Amino acid sequence: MDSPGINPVKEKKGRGLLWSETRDGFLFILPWMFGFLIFTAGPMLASLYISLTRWEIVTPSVWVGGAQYVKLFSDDRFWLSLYNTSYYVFIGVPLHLLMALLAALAVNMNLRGIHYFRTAYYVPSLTPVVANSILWVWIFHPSWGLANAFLEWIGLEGLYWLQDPRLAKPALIIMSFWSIGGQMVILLAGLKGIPIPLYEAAAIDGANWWGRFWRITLPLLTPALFFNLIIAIIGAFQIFTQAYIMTEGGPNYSTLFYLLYLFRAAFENFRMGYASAMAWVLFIIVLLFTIIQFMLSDRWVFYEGDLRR
Amino acid sequence: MKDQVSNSVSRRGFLRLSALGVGASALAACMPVAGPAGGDSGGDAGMAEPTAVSFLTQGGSETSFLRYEPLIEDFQAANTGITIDPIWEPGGAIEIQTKLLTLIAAGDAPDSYWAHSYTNSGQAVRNIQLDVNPFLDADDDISGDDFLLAALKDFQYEGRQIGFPRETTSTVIIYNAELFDAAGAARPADGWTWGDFVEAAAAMTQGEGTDRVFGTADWHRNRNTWIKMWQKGGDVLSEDRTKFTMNQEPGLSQVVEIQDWHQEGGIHVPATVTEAGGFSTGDLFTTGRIGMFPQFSVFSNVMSSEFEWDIAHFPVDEGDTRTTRVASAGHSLYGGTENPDEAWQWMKFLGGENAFRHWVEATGLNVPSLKVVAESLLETMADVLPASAQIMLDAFEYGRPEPVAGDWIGVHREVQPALNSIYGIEKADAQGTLDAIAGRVEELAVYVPGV
Amino acid sequence: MTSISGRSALEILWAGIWYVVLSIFAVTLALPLVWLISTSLKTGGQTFLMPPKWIPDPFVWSNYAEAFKAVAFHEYFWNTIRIVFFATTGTLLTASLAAYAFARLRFPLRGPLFLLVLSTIMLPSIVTLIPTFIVFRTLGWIDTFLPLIVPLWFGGGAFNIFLFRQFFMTIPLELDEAARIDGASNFRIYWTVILPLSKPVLATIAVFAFIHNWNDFFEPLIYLQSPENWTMAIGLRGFRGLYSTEWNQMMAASTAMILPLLILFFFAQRYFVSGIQMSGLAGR
Repeated sequence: MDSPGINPVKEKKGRGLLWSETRDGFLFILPWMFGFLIFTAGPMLASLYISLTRWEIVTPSVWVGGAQYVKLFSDDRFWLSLYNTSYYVFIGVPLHLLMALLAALAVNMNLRGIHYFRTAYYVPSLTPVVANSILWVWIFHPSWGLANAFLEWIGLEGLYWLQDPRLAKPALIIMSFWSIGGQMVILLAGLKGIPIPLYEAAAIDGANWWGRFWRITLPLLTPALFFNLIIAIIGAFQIFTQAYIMTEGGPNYSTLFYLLYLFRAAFENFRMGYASAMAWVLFIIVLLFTIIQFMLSDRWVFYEGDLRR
Repeated sequence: MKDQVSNSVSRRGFLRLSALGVGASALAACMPVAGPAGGDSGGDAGMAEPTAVSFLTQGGSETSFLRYEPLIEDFQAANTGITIDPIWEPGGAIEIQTKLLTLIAAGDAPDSYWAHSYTNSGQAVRNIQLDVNPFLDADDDISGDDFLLAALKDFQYEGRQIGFPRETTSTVIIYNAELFDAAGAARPADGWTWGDFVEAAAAMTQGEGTDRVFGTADWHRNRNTWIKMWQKGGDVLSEDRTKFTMNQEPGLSQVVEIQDWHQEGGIHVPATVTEAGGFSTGDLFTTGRIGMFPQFSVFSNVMSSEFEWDIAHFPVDEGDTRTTRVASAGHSLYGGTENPDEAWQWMKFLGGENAFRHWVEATGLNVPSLKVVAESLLETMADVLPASAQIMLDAFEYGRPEPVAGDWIGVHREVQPALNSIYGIEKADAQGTLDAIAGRVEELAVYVPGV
Repeated sequence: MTSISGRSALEILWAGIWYVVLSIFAVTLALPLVWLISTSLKTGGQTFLMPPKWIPDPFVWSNYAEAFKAVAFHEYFWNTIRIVFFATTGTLLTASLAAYAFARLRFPLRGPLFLLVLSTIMLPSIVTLIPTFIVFRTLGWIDTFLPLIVPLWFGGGAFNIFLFRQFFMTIPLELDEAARIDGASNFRIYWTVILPLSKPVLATIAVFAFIHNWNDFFEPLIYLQSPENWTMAIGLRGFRGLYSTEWNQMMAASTAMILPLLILFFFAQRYFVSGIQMSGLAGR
């Protein structure tokens, strides 16, 4: 990763803070700050306040301090939904990333007509989520589904994908492989940004494909990989629609994901205070994960234009 | 009015503001084509404004717009002092409730809205609906007796009338007459027993794999399991609605019997097969793979059957209480409405014969909860209704709504997964599984929101 | 990675193998979509036949006409186009602006502020739904397109800021330094050095934003109340009836919604691969 010559910036001593740069920095993020203060900050703070109350949307809110948070700890459905979601995050996200990386490498090849393949790989990501969810219910159907037709074709027994508590989460993870298109495109853009002379230089040094991949492609792809990782984790913690439409949290609560439970608390059972407390617990979890990832990223993510202090 | 003025001011203010940064022309271009009638025009305070009654309801397909748009026109023509502002929402009971709660919390609550028995209870516990009994008592034009009693009860909660039903359903048995004949089983007749039912189902069950024909289906749904329990004197909750009683006799043995149909007997379509989204029991039935199954009296999903089919009463044994389930959708008024009188006029209109006649013509098969229209339905819709359609109306005589209490959706959310575990591939023990949810169900059923 | 030299027999063989592998994956990934299109052309009764019928018989093209008759899809098309166009433009401009600051300028609190950007997508929107609705109601924006567009002119969303930042950070700093020595302001560097080098990511974000806004139904559903203002994604939900759903019509409408996106992606992807020019500028 620290192959010489790739990273001249690193050796350079960082400049001190400049007033003009500070001013410009804030000017550039001004539109965002403006939007944040008007549209986002208020609702976020409001939900934080609501999480400290008992509020049933149509009744006046009552201040209860941290009681909703305390209640969470003794709610086994809360823990179950957290477990289900973590399963989806920690098994699904790495596999998803790996598939996206393989797909991106594949469609980055210099082959005639490769853009048709790119389109074909991206197409499943275009399907509206409701239609897609229904399609996958059909695919996983125990009697008529494609998934079991395939298993039987290769001589295996069909499975109860979405009806077996042990299989429902893996089934949703498998389904997620069909939506690697977005991550693939981001990685592809990253791959295309790698200067070809680097490969030529490595080839002269006698590096084989694996060596070039390991020493050039992967390090220079880390910003895109890092982006995919962070966004995938944030997104996977908030998995909702699939469970809402396809499984309704079943069978036997095996797909009762965090947000599904939260949604039901809020809009089916009117417990907006409780739901808000759940939301903020999730917020803290995801925030911690993100901070840890950013801290670890110093070790493995490589930026050509890094501003080292 | 005050709102509208301040709205247009803030919009103008915003436009000025945005001109600084991002280009007002772009924003002006994204203003909507046309606001709703009487929307943001503002400023014309001279004339006597008609009172606007907002109405949150289902919309999306042309059919769903057709349900209300002509009625709104008729109503406004007859009541020049009132305009109806519809808020359309493409979705079911939960989506409507989500929108309703958002609007209430934002101070934009609709005066009237589409309601469903599924969500009625949670709203009633929190006093969201206006009790229309005082209006009903004072108004000679409309009476509760005009409605099918079981449907009207669906919109009652602890003595309050929380709305009127529009369409309603009774649960009946739908059967494939040709499968009965082929299996040499007697077709369901008045007074057939559960013994007859099981015998016929077993006779019709045959074949393997995807071609297998099953005697029956859909008893795994909590609503249908409940009917069987009710017949035998069991219930979801005790009479005072505080104790969960599905895990006790006589309810428990009904659950066990339905479990046997799934597992030992194999006469029931595996719950896992029909519980999957797009595939419905109706699709299996129309392709000739189900002998009979219980369903609320909407037949659009089985109408394409190319064989002879009909409906029947539930089987009854001696000593059973003859019962079935009635569920309805209808309309409620928001308790905090600022225009209760005008809203009542609108609601009364929606509960009147003209409205029901319109719905029968525009939407076809749903059972109108207004008696006089329900009875004439059999003639007007004879060509699309099953031969014994009278049965679905007769069933209202002994039908009842679910024993709604507290956060009833929450009770559904507890019971259905438990039943799925019992009937499904887990083959969970009925007693233990139901015992395990008793505490949670009771907590939900007796729930009284704090103030 | 093919080499620059001429093709040997071995390379041709390899290319052949690659085509087979790529095709297998392409077919696998496309299966759901093929089924979607196939269902959109079937009669209602054929939807659930076993074994599944891949080729409808007969082809029921009228499903499309029926679908457009059942839901006024075409009327929602222009609303969707307008929202998508303005939302995407705002996203490209303001997200790249903020990302430039986070990637290439040093100022106090840069790290915490960037974390704040990301934190806005960490809180489930279910619990901010009501407060956000109140904000837009106070502004008088309910039942207008503004809630779907204006916020994107103020930052363009954390996803896009982050993605821009990641790609800006891969551009060598010497380019900025060189321009700065020539007296260029930061805005000038952003506009004439960074953006031109960022065509792949601009194209990527443009396509993503377009697709996201095209398919999004959650927000439009909340803020757009009159059917005159609805988008196609809302219309798609109209197919789900209270008791049953016309699946073939819904799939027909879905196919119609996907088609423009497919064409867009096919033609936009050439810009994803335009990053090669960077190597020349980097001067290696």
